[in-house]
Parts: sequence; structure tokens; C-alpha cells
Amino acid sequence: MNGLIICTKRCNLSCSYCFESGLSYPDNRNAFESASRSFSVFLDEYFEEFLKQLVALNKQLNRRGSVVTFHGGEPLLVGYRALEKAFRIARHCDESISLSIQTNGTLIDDSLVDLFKRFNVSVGISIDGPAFLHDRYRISRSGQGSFRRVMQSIELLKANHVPVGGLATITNESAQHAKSVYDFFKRCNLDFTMNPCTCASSEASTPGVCTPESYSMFCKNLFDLWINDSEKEKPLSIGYFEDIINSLLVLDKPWMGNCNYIPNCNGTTIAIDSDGDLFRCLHYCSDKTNSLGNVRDVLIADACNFENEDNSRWEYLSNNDCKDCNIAGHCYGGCPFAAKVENGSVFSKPQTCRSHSEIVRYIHTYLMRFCKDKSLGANLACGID
Amino acid sequence: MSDALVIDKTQFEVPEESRIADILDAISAKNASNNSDCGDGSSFTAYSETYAEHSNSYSVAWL
Repeated sequence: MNGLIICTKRCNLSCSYCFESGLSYPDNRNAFESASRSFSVFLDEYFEEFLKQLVALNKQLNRRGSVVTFHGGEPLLVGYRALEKAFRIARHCDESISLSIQTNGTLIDDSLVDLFKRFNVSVGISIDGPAFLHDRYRISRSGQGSFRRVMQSIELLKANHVPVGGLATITNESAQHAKSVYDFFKRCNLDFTMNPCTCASSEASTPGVCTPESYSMFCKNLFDLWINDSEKEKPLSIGYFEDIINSLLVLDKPWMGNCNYIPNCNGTTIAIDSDGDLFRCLHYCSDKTNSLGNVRDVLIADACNFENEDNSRWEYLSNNDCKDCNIAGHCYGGCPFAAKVENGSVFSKPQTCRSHSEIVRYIHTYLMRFCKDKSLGANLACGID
Repeated sequence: MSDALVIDKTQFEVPEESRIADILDAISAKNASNNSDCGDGSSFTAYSETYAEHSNSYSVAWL
């Protein structure tokens, strides 16, 4: 089980496609101070208890180790001292915890790089590709693009050998530029994964939303560029494609930390906000009514065993919406949160189903060409035939 | 049996010098790594899209 720390919901950027847009402070200096204060209280009152429970639960479940990711909002808003304290507590609790942080990359400086290095923290940077794509949406409150500053951070991290990767949001614009995106990440030698820009809510329109059709076309083009790259260097890692290949190659479904490839994502992740409230994952944190309880009052193990409609979701979908789908055993109906936001009920498929299924089939077709025995190849984990 | 993922390429006819061979090697190495979830910083995301917990033993009998 992965631990996700919502350090703060505030952010110093105002990315126009963000599902948490509108949470930025009017004055960024205040944002720093407020975020840091709240996070300090969290560290004193909740963090150690959360870690102890998470580590014990993973040991009990015979998992390899515990992964803790600091997230937000923008987690670096809490400042150097609070982060140092957090990393120290985590290392003291269990030296083997894998620590990572997901940031917009605009606040990284020499001292933070040293801190990440000292505590062996991997860094994920949100970057959407070259400047003309990134700066379209990833902007400051005044509308200024953040690309240049983010690239400085990536270069600094790389120069200091801090593990760093990219997380790209694919918008309707970038979906038209698969080659530019691929060439950019290749030129930067930056491994990455991606998500399509989807609706932030069922009520408001979100800028940059990528249609399933344009996203699947983008992914196919990107896959072709990746898989047919004739250069001899080590291939770039593109997490989304590697996940699909991995899941296609596995006959006995493992318990995977990846919430996209299991029937019920309950228990893959436990998120905690700065008030100590537990949530299923990042998606659910923006609404306190989704809380599974406070870490002082409930055990994570109990919180993850909650009974709700999602527990019967796959049973329902496998007999209804997904009944005739030949990759149903691969994606299990997709993200329940997205389904509920888009359709009003978890007993439905999110729009990403349309693009994801097409991409899985595309990659399957590619892999099949290397099958020695085509009839056996039909028995892939996903059941494509 | 090791709890590491292993891609059984013996059933797989992949040209040695091909890109897919390199990619499968990279995925295998990542799966076998204890830190495969975030060792390169790219596999973890906002939505816990990680390789974090391949704790169960399984063989990749693909093909």
C-alpha cells in the first residue's frame, strides 16, 4: 500500500486545467507561511502514527516495502525545514521507506536538491512537454508560463544525480504533437508517464480536455515513435506503456500497487491530509465528506476495508457495461472516481475507457508479432482474441 | 519462487538488437528492483500509478 501525504492543498501556480484550480492563495508569501504552519502541526500530531500503521500493515501483508509520496497542492510550499523534519521522521520510523515527492518544480533550489539527495528522495516533476505546450496551461497567477523555471530545476536535479521523472498532462493541444512531446523528453533524457486532461467535475468545463479519440491517437503515435526509435541509447521509460506491457504479460494477476489494473482499487493507496484525515486516494481529498476517518481514531487497515458501493462495482460491470469487452480483465472498468464524476455513478465506465481500450489493443497487436505460437498468444492475461 | 517479476522471453521471439528487447529488459529490471516504484522518479504519479507492490509470485507465462 502506498502512502500519499497531502502536504497542502495550496499551490503557487494557477494551471488552468487543474482539478484543484482556485485553491491558490492571492498572496504567495501567505501561502508559504500558512502551508508550513499547518504541515508542522501535521508532523507533530499525525505523521508518525500514519507511518507506523502503514509500515506495519505492509509488513503484515508481506509487501516488499512502503512507498510514501509527498503531494499537494504544491508540497514544496511547506518549506525546507518542515520537509527536512518529515523526511527525518520517515527515515527514523523505517529506514527502508521509499520516499518521493510530486512537485510542479518551480520552487526547487540548491538546498532542496541537497535535502532530496541526503534523504534519497525521488522527485516527480509535472511537465507537459516543450515550452509551447507546457506554458499553455501551467502558468502563474499572473499568467506567466513556468517552463523555464521548471527546466532549471530538472537540470539541477539531474546534475546532482537526484532521481527525477516527468509527469505530463496531455491536453487537446499536446495530443496533436506526439513527436514534439517524444522528442522533448528524449532530448531531456527524462523518463515520464502521462495522464489525459479530463473533466475536473461534472458541473464545470475544464480547459484543455482531451477527447478519448485524440488521446488514443496521441498514444498510438507516441508508442510508434518510442518502439521504433532506432537509436542505440537506453530507451526512454514511458510509464503508461510499460504498465500496459507489464499487465499484458502477466497471466496470474498480481496484487499490483497500480490502481489501474486491479478489480477494486481500495487499499492500493491511503492518502492523508494535513488534518490527519484519511482518504482513498488523491482524488477524494478535495471533499472532506469522502474522509475515511482520522488517523487518530481509525486504523488504516480498518479504513481500507470499508464497505461501499465500489466493492460490488466490478461484479456489476462485468455483467453489464463491460460484459462484452475483450479487455475487461485488463482494466476492470477503470477509475471509479472518474466514472462517478463523469456519469454520476460508480456503476459505469469513465470516458478514458474508450481511449485506454484502444491503446491496449494497439499494443497487444504489436506484441503479438513476436509470439512464437499465435494460438497460445491469444491467451494473454487480458483475454484479447 | 522469487517474488520478482520475470519476463520469460524464451517463448518470445524478439530480435536481440530490437528496441522491444531493450524495453522488456528495462521492464524486467524495474520489476526486479525493490525500488521499482520510484527508482527513476517517473513511475509514481498523482494517482499511485506505480509498480510499488508486486508482492505476489507469478510467472510471466506469456505465450
